Amino acid sequence: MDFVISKNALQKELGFVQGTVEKKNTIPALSNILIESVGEGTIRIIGTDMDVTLRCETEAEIKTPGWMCVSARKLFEITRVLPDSSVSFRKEENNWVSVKCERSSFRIAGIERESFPEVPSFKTATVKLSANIFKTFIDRTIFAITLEESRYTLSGAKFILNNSGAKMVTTDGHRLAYIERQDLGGNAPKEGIEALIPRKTLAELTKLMTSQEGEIGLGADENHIYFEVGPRLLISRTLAGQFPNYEMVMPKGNDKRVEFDSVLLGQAIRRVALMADDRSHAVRFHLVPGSLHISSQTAEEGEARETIATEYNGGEIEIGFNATYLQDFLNAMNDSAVAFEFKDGNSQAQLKPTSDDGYDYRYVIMPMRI
Amino acid sequence: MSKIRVLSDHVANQIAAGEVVERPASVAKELVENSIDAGARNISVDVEAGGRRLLRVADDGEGMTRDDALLAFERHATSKIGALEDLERIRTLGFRGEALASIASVARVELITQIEGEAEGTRVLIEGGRMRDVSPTARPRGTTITVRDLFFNVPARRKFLRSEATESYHLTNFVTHYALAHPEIAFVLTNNGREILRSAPAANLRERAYQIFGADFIENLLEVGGGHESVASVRGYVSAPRERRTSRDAQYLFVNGRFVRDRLIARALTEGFRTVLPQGVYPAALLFLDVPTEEVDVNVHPAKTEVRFRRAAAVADAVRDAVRGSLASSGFLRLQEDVDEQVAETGGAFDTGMPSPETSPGRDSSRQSVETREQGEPRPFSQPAQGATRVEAEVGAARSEMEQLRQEVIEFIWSPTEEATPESGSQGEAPREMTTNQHAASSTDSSPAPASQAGRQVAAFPPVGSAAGIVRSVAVESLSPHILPLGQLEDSFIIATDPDGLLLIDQHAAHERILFDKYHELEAARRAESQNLLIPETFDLTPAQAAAFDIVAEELETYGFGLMRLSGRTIAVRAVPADLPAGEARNMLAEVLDACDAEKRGAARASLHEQIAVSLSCRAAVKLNTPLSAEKMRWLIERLLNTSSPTTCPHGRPTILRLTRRDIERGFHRR
Repeated sequence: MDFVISKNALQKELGFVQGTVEKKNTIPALSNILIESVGEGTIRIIGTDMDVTLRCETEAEIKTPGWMCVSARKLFEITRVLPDSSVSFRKEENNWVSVKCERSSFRIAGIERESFPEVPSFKTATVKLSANIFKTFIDRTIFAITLEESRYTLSGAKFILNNSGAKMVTTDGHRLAYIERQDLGGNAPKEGIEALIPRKTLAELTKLMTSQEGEIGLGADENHIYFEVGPRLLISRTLAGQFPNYEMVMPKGNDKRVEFDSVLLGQAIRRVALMADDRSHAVRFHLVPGSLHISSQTAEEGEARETIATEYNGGEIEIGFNATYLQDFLNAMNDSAVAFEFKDGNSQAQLKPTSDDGYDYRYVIMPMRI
Repeated sequence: MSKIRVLSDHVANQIAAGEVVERPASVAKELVENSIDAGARNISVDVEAGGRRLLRVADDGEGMTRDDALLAFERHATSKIGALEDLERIRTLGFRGEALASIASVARVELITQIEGEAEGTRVLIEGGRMRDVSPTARPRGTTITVRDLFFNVPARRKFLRSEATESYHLTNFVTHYALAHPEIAFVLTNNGREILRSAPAANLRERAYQIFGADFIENLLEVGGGHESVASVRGYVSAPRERRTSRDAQYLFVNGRFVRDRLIARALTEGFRTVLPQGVYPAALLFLDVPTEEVDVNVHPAKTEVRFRRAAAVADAVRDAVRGSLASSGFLRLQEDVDEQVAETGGAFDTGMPSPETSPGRDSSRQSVETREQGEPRPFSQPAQGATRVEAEVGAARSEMEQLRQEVIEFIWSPTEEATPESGSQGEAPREMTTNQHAASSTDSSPAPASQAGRQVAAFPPVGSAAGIVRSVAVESLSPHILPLGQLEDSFIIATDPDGLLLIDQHAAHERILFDKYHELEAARRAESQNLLIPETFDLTPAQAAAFDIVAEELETYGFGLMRLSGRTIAVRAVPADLPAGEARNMLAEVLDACDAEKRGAARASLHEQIAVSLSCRAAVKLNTPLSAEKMRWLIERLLNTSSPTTCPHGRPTILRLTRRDIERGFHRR
């Protein structure tokens, strides 16, 4: 194989593929990427960790068609520091690859194509969805996915798409983020999708969609879900198992409600959290008619306290929260005012933005006993 | 008037009962062993009020005739042996003929038994050792023994019984052991009418373990098989290294089908896991040893949980090798000749407290190497030889586990003292006897800094190895408050003097100790904060854990757990301690439940706090290769002297080494 490509185009694609390539190096072949020619003006770059596979296509001048298989990290590092010019690739004997750009030249060891895994097969994307909506879904829920590896069924987002709209739910057992949108811009999906999408897939998708306007294509089979984002195709294994029954968790009968300026509240929590315990991040909300007192203390270091005026006129109440959980939501929420709904110091509280931007966005958080 | 009297049988039985019948669980043990010896296929145990009010064992074994049933309650009446020689060939679990007599002397006992084909069975009623009634009765083949009001006539004994929950815990634990040892027998255990354990006859141990412990436990088990039938054949399971326990409670050891508590086997097991599991962490294990009957003495104690091996060292080796083999074949351990040799060398410690007629080959070789060194030792210093003798002497003495460990360290340090004789050629040999980490440590030769850094990664082997000979770790008592820092060696070790000579202080280790004490105190004073869970998590407990649950539930609540008992052995967790990462909380729950012996209460929390304090202090402590001003050195030393253990860091390595004035003078031939 023999081709020439612009440094910038190559770097951009390698940047994407880099993210999916196996980092733990369990199967050595997975640290490589496969580059193959498609017709005369396109190359295809594929990287995978067996769970997530990314296939990118970009323009290149193919001189001899074929394939090559080289270390993803090395090629990416080299490409990054090359001058802004065209780069020519040539495959040599024993899978070696030579890379030339202006005055620099490299020889990189490659591997056999056979040792590179097969890309899972897929159907064409059956459903279209606005990239903007899907991106909002991810941004507003990804932070609540558990980081605990052992909690397999919580380590992804529940995504449901059907003719009544789309929703995404994530949780780590302590809090839960829920977002739903009924208006999907006219094209009601013919086929429904219901899948548990791994966290890594969502993170990679966010990267792919940063520059993507318009629509993305989605499809799913029993074990995989795939996304067409422009010329790139991301195929991900879905998580098997039972996502918790989130509907049961959504609070009912939260009879107290108070609204805050989300910026003010966010800043207050940030300050008070400085004196919260390092590991539990506990802050105390003390709500009385007219104001909210937020406080924290650490036995050794001291304490902090801040008061925010509110229009609250219900009964006095004290609730403990993990400050990080609150901050996560306030950062993702992207609205000027936030509504708190709760019942008592032991039951789940619900937070949501007050304005209507077409999304039903809710955050359920379990209090702490402090 | 003569003072000496022969005790009546009744009193003698009551005294004997003190040895055999310690608590309800020991009654159950004797009765269940009888059932197993009688060839039962189904054994059911019913317990009320922790076994104090009622304990009933029913089986479908061979049963007894009327005469046997009466004779069974006589002391030293047994069907299992007839002559002393039989003791050499004990295949049955019981044999002393004491149990029933002892039990009957301290409780109200009803025995109902029937032999297959006989027209009628027999019912015998005995209270406090006195026969009350013998009458014909009917039941299917087998024997039922009901023990009511245990210790009703021995108030002193009754007072020593623990709470109902504790006694139930012991009973449950015990029945679990026997269910594991005899997968072919069906066991049912009910406590106050609640079914605690039910296991149908299983084809093998794995199936039985699955019935009892569930899938999670089984997934983490590695199969063990090895040993030699002439010494001890070893089979069973050990947990994969990812499964960690803070106590040995999850180690079930059996010798010829008999549950034993044996330090020899337990230590050999730990030895097998050395370098795979950190210090203070134990594997779970189900190990079955089959030892030729003439090679093992089970008649050590009436309770028969102690055994004595004729060839203790060989048995220990068999266990250790089988365990290492299993770890190796599942990829947790690379089995190398030289690693084995090294283990064999420290293997001398196995014999501790269990004097064996034969010396293990490992000890021989270690002694030999000491001798060789002595011969090739050109210098007048006799320290290494002295040290070796000391070690040998200490091996003989029974010591606490901690000291044992330290002693192994010392032994280890002495064996490869290549530094003293770099040209003797022993240098090439010695490092290969070490584990890989050690290899790095000693092949970098005598420079103290890199050696100690490498040593840092291996908790068990502190860095003094490179300081062979005259620089020694320091006893706390010998530390004087007048320590004057002179400067730093390689920006890592403080050089100081005190009235006894020269001191080397590892600045990182010293600071670690100071910080550890501080963090440890803070951890202990910490309030329990609790994070409620959105979705309660359910856990299926093992029978022993379920029994433990009642004892520790309250304690767990004070840590910040919110718990609720659901049906059977399932509990729901509604809240977890907020200061722990979510995964840790789950581990802690299991650990507390496993370590629930009354004495060990709070142990899991304490050890967890300790772990946290260790890692916090290690991260925050001043690093090696950091220049320190004189003020800082003085501050470090002053604070170090005020800590709980100035001479060791929280990982157990020394913080201070000393070169005594005496040795310095000797070195200069001034003495």
